[in-house]
Amino acid sequence: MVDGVLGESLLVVENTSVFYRSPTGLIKALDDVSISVAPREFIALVGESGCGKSTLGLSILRLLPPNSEIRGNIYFRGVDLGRITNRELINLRGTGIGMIFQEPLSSLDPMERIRDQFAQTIQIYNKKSGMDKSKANNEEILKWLRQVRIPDPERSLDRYPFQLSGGMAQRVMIAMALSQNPSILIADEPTSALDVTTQAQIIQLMKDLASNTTIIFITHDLGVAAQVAEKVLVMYAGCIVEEGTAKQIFSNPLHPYTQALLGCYPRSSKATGKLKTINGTVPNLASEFKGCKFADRCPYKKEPCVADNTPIVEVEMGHRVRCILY
Amino acid sequence: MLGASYTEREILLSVQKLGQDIVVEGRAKGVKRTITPVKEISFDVYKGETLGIVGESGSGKTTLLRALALISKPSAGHIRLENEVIFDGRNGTKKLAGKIQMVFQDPVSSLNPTMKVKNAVAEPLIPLGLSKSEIEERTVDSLRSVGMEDFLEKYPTQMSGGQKQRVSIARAVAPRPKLILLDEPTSALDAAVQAQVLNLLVELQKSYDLTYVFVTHNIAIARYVADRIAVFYDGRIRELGPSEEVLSRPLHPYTASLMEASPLPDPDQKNLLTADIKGEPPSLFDPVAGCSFHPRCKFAQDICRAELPELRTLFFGHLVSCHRAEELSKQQPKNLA
Repeated sequence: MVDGVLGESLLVVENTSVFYRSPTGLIKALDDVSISVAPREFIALVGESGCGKSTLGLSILRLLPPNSEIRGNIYFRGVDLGRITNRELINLRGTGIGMIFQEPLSSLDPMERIRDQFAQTIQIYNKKSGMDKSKANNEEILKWLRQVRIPDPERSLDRYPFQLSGGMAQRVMIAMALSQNPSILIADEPTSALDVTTQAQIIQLMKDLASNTTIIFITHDLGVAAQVAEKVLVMYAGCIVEEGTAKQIFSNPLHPYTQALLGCYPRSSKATGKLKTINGTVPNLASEFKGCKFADRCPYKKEPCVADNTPIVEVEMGHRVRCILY
Repeated sequence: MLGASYTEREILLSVQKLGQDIVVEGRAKGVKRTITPVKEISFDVYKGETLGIVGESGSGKTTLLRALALISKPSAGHIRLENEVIFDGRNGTKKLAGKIQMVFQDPVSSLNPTMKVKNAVAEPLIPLGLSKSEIEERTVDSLRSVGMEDFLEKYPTQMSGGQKQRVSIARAVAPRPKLILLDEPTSALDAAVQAQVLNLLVELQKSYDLTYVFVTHNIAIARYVADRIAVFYDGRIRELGPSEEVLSRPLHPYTASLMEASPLPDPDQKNLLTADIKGEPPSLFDPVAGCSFHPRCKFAQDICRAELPELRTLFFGHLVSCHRAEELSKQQPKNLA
């Protein structure tokens, strides 16, 4: 497989909506989301819990739970993922698009040694790519464990996941994901369960090792997004409300929600005054909507906000916002 | 021992050489091991202040709070609250009711799902010997102070995470405690709700004249709420001082690393990608000799591997436990801003 020409999109999500069937009705978790991802981009997907970040990640890999329904098209290298067979989808997962999750210890098999889990991963990859089907040897696994800077990799081979710290387990997960050589790596809050000093090490590692991989980094931590991403997408209640470079989003936030969210971040001591907050609560996604979902909490709310659906507009090169103020 | 501005302040809680051992069952039958998550900790908390305790998971922050509230019996040391001994090295007082309250990290598991809000808030008032009408009055009053007076008849499942945490706070405030121990009270909450809860806590502190010990792993939150900060690592205080001092002029290499690794929402200050920190905290089952930060410290020397540094005053009210603190504080401007 060959990467597309630079600037050409590797992944395109087009008008995609995701619904979850629940006892209280249909929940619209993702509302008409469109994104396009170029090769080797580092994208951060930010927003509060329940805004649809993880749903977007899972819908790309078609890993949504059975009570869900997806509408819209997602293209990977021009291929519509909704139209390919299960077999092709399985081949794509891991090798085309990989994913790592927040809780490394629940992603690893608790009953198997690291050596065996890792060997399987490599074996499956080899099988998929039509290479040697024999079992992966220790050397290959060790090479990966060294790359993710696991101290004492020889001893780690024989360990079970519970014998690893959270940071070490996440390193193993990253090594396994990268051993499949994916074009895109979706990382769903990969460092949220880790301490800051471990988080810094893991993020540095991802930056170093994945220079040829496109990364979609899902996080609720604006600090992390500002530090790692080239491009930032801000989500609210299932919609993308603003998108731009990290610099655009953090030094010139346009959407009232982005502004409010950044205002909530404590930067000085309580002596300097109260923290800014956002009035009201996140809307109920089971109800029907017209207009901007943030309108009820927005200090700039006007009549047209709730009258019609707000289109996303490009304010400056690469900086797009979904708000009638612009 | 502390600076002049502090000597005039009234000490509310005094902790001397507090230790907490935990006996852990080994995997083999009958094998028991003792770990010590909190090791000979001494500090004072002044009336009306917020003492922030920062550190990473496993550093002993929560164990310390549990020991202070006598939820688990400390193994060693003394604790005094308003000059009254509440733990004498062997036994804890039985008359603590209501004086020390605690707010936990997870608002879901800290409220009984089968209990109405009004009963949850009234429960800690029962041992105080108040009349029924007094209890009712205080319950309503506490809930009003957190903006939850309309939720008296509700159950926890009918509330959001932020609302539940408000109820937990109302319950902590209701017995009019001297001291509230807050264990990561906002880390399960979203940014906007977190800001609301932090504002509320600051407000309540003023109106009820409360003293807080506030545990957090988030430096930005500690900077916002705390008057003084204690930095924890492997069960010991490594640095203690006024928040601004500690955060603008960290004296311990660990404090400096912690700040380097804390991501700022500013793409022009990419501290996270340049943070120079290696390794992980030591395991409690595998104690490290000397200063237990030495395997991760870029300034470690022979003495650090051999001897445990004492927590000592370096500047007015600013204490540090590092052999090389004097030398390092002169050598390099550790101001990371």
